[in-house]
Amino acid sequence: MSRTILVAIALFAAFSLSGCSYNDLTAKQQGVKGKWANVESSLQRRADLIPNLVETAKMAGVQEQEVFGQIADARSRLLNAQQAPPVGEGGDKTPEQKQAVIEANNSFGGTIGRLLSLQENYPVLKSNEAFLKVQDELSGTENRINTARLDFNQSVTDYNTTRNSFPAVLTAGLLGFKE
Amino acid sequence: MKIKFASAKLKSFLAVLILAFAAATAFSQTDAPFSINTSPLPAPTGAVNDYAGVIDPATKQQLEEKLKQFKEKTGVELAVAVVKSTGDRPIFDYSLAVARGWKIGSKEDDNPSALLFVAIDDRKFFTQVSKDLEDELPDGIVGNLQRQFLVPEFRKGNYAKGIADTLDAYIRTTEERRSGGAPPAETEKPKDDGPGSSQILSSSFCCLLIIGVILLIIFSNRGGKNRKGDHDDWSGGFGGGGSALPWVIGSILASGSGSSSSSGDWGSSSGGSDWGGFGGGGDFGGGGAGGDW
Repeated sequence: MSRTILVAIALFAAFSLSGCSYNDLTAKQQGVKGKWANVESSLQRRADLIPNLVETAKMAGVQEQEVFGQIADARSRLLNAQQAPPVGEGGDKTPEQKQAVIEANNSFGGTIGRLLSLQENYPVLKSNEAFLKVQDELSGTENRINTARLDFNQSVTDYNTTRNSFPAVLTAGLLGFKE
Repeated sequence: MKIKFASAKLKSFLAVLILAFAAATAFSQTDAPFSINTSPLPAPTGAVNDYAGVIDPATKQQLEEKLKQFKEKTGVELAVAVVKSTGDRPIFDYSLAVARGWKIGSKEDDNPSALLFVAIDDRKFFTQVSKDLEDELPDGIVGNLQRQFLVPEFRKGNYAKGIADTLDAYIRTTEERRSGGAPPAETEKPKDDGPGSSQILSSSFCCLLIIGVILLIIFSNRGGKNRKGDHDDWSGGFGGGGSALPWVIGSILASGSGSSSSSGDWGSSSGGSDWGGFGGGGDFGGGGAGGDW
């Protein structure tokens, strides 16, 4: 008799495990991973686009070897940071590695800004539709990077909030969901 | 004897239940921070929403009809929003929040859509393109079409014509590009299930789990002395040890409880149109282009 009760209670408790936000936590953890993937792919997209922009600028008669060189350097630094083998758990990049990617990206962004500011010296660029198009693509990519970063941060906040709020914090502690 | 013991303890369990439930509901309500996912504008009344009064009723009617047909034909949802100003917020942020907040585009995995957003007094415009329309309307093309059709008319003050011409150009370009290439491949994407009303239910489930564990411990302490093997098996499962059964059951149960929250009905109070509201997508990743005039 008491054995039956025991089994029934244990089963019921197991059923209610899902209520302990276990699935919620897993889903949000996956969400965070996915958002970081978006950040990286939009960074990659920008890195891929830059040679185009440089080429178009050259075609339009821009002669700024120094700026072009800086862009190439910054681009390879970004690609290196991005392609560094992930050493974090579960095949993820560690927070330090993510930070490195973001920093490389920021210095890359600075050099692109230089290229775009060349428009002041080369008024012909302002009416060059090809250059304007690549510039649209580039600023679209910048927007995507920002959006992906905002989404990433939001998903991290969301995950942490869930992880540290009442029903989930027990599950999270028990099952090793980290902040 | 056993029954008596249980009912005596039951009261304190009940107290735990109530406390835990209260705690769960109290902590699960968090303030939504500023986000690019909530529209700063009121709910839309049609595909074309003019808060600045620059589109005449005839053109609006025409556009609504055209966008509706285009949507029926191709599944691509185009929308327009015109405001006076975006205030302090950059037009990109603002329009992204509108596009995501209004959930423009289908709820399906493939949800091509776009929002042409204009801030009249700021003299700025931006077209947000959803992830599934980026192939047909890449940023460069969008920028190019806007420079061709929108900017010249806007400079002359013909806002309605500029918007109509630009939308025509988007429609043309999308159709051309679609007829040229294969239909875009379906991509598997995880659906975002917003925290729904199931959350509170889940919390109470969790309380039941805790109570279950306590009950288990007490029952097994009292009655399980001569069945020690059983007892160990089960508590091993809960301690994160061997038994996989609870997890299997848990995940089966969860697949049912993860129902997506419906995005609510649009009050169809708009002026006589049978506009059914946007599709519930809102899958915008920052694509599109903009500029000023």
